[in-house]
Amino acid sequence: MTVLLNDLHDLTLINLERVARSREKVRFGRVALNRLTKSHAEFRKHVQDHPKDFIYGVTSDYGPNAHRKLDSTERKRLRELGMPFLGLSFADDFLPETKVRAMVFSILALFLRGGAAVSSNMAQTLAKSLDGDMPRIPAGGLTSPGEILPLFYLMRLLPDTSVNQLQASTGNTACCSVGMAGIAAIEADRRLIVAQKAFALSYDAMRAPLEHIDPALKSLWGDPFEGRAIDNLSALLKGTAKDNRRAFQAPVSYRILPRLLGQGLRSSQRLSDTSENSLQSMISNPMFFSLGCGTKVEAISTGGYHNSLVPQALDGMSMSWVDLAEIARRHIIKLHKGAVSQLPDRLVRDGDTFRSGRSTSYMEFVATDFIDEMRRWAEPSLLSAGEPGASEQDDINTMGYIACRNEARVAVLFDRVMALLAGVASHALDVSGRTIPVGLDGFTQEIRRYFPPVTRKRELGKSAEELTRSLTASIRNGDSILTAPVAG
Amino acid sequence: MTVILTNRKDFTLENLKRVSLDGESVRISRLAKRVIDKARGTFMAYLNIDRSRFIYGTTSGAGHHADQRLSLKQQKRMARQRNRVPRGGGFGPDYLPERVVRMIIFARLTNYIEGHAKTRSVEPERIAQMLDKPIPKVPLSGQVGAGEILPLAHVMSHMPRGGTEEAEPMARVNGSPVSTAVLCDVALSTQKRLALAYQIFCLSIEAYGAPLTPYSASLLRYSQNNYEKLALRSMRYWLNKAPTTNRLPYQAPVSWRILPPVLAAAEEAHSTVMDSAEISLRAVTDNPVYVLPTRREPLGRAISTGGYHNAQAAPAIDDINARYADLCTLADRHTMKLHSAQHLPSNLAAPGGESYGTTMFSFLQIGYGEEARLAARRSFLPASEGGGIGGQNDVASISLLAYQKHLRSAFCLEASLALLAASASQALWLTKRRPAHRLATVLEGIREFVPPVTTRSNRNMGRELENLQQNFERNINSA
Repeated sequence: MTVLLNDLHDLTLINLERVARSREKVRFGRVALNRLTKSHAEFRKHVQDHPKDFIYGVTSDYGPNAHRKLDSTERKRLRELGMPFLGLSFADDFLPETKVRAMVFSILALFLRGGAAVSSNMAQTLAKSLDGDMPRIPAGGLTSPGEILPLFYLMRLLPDTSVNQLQASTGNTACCSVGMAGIAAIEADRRLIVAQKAFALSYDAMRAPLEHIDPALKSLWGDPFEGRAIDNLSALLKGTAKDNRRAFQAPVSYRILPRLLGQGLRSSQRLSDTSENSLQSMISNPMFFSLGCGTKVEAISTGGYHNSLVPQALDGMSMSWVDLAEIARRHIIKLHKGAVSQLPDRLVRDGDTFRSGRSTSYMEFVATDFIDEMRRWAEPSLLSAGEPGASEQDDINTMGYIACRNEARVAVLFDRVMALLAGVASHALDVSGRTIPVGLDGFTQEIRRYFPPVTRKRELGKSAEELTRSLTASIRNGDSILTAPVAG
Repeated sequence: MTVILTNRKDFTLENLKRVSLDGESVRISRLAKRVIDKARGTFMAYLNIDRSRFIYGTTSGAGHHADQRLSLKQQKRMARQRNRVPRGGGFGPDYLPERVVRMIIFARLTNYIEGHAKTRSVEPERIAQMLDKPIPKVPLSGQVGAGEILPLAHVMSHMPRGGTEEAEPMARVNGSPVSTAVLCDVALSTQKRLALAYQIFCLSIEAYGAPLTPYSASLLRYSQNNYEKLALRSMRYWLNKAPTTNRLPYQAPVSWRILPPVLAAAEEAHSTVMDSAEISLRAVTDNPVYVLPTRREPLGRAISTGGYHNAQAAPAIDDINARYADLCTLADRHTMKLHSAQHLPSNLAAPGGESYGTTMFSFLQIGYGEEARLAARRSFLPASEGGGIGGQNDVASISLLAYQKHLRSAFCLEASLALLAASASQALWLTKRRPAHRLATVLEGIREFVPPVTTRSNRNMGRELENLQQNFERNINSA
């Protein structure tokens, strides 16, 4: 299939994923091509009619030389010199191709609305580049004012600059953070589905009273996200035994689950909204407003390459992963603590001892390492205090890439904690001979494929690692029962 | 004036402001008292039908004694004996502002007003009376524990004396009114602090002579993001009719051009904290909570919940702290650039004054920025299970820690804006320019505290700048 871009409504996270992950082709539709042609022509005329106006990178030089005016001869000479940088970044392996494709898609989003005033040929060339392989972009050293460092690699996909026609911008926009955040948003949604299922399994293993997720709480708390968490947990626990549960309230870490999951759902929704909204509002420097687009025809300098909403949304998501992981760690510990859980102490079977190696005992230690690392990566991506450039102009870094990179790392660590929680909870249910609630049946079977209940001594770390790999892959691809939406 | 409360709809930010900032009293309406007493009646019938049923803190012990069932005699004795909340244990050098403690008392009443706290109406009346007496002091430190019992002990131990019956002692100290109060305070003060930031940054645009194109109306029309629009609109308000001549003929440094997106993120954080404040103000968060009678359940039911843990508060406050730190970074950069721009007098030094002019302002920014970044560190759920004896209270609420950092963060932003304001004022004075007309009174207000500097001898600049910051603070936290 081919994704056709015509207007704003085509700039969705669904289309982003089709192009970035599923490697579908993308093309500009007739409406878009007409718009591009019109905007490009208007821009050329605008430059011709206003040769003395400051248009960054068009009638002026770039970066530290922004104050230097260019005439058409000088502009031509510089164009023939081509892009001075072949790539400046290095280290930490390379960005996944999905993310590079997502960045290209977000540049197409900028082109689509005509603000970059590129020719239809240039736009189509970039769209067609997604039919093939993407340039490899090192994952280290990508932060700068604006997002030009990754852009230096992406520019290779555009026609040779010496034959470029005049345009406002070839992608000086927040393409990197918006594209990557879009992928993060899609994955966060699925990751939360996994989390809700793993926590529901733990909830049932603990035989926590169902009143902690009573639907009456929805109107008492009045928060739509906490309400959704209650609905989801209730759906997942549908059919569970209502009697024979704990006779008194479960530990705080169970009772506050709907509130913590609600906050996770809020963060995820915010990330999705922000990413999609940003995709539809791509601004470059400079930005050209053709007739009927802005309030007047103008080519203006902006700070459009700097997106501050995306890092904030990603940071919020990271915080939710840490807090949920911390709750999961409490659950894993409590499930092993017989005096609290009312399950066999250390989750050993009747007559057995943890010394036999036939339980998940000591797995509770493992999460600490991951969570400690998560906390470090989840600190907010604040504007850095240092001046990054050797000029008066480029004095503040854009934090989008750092936020994307950090959230991605936190998320992978979170998957490990979820694997531990799901593996231990599934074992706890098996040890206590309990039936899995129908809403969790498929999920639990899949968990047990990789992390079966422990009946003999084995290397449990390997089971947890395989389960993590499966969880992460399911979250990326969205094609497994692990990430199947919770049926309401 | 007195705020009269009838139901949860009366728990608005407007009423909260009247109580906390204007010092108004609160009265429970006659209708509300009837509703509360009726709920108490059905709750008692529910309790009396089966005294062995688990109702936390009523038929069971509290905290890590939750697994212990109490006999009828024990239940009655516990209710009677716990008629005074013990004083709080937290201590430290700083205290919650009095307005916030008033907010806590106001927010405490939400659980009661429709009968969900399962008490007699005399209980909320006693709580409301606290607003007419000296307000208790609540230390900022040592308040991180499961639920909000630690800070609430400092407040509720000052309740007017009077006997208690079953379920009433627990209702006094459970729920999450402290989180609600700090969310509300951050929401209300940030609104004003952001308004101040717009004024000072726009003054900085004028002082630098930065081109106005990054704030163009075309961007307003183009953007699909409401927060970007809000930021642009506010900036355009202050820059209305700004002189178009004598501006930099090429683009200003990034730190000026990215003001709209950075302020948009602050607007979004503010919108989140406002939403959370409004939701929390009306939320019934008691544990156990009484679910009112229905046709199916004519006596209602009491259920154990995690209502005492407000999971929205710390992340929302943290976001505000982060955006304050970002604004400090921009203010730092602007202050430095105003002192080093080629098109402005070097060091913003006045003719006949010292050659170093007001460069000290730029030095000073570093410290406030660093402090703000420190205060912007995340308030994660604590790893410690302190207090989780017996497995019950195993996760602490972190809202007050986030708020403690917020107070520091707010001071740093005000200080940072004061330095930028003084620098912008100096640049305009030296170049004999006037800012956009709406900024003229802002500029006058700044110069009242920090007049333009010719020479620093005989001037106590630290004191002048502090006075300016304190004036900002007064305006932000006043009615």
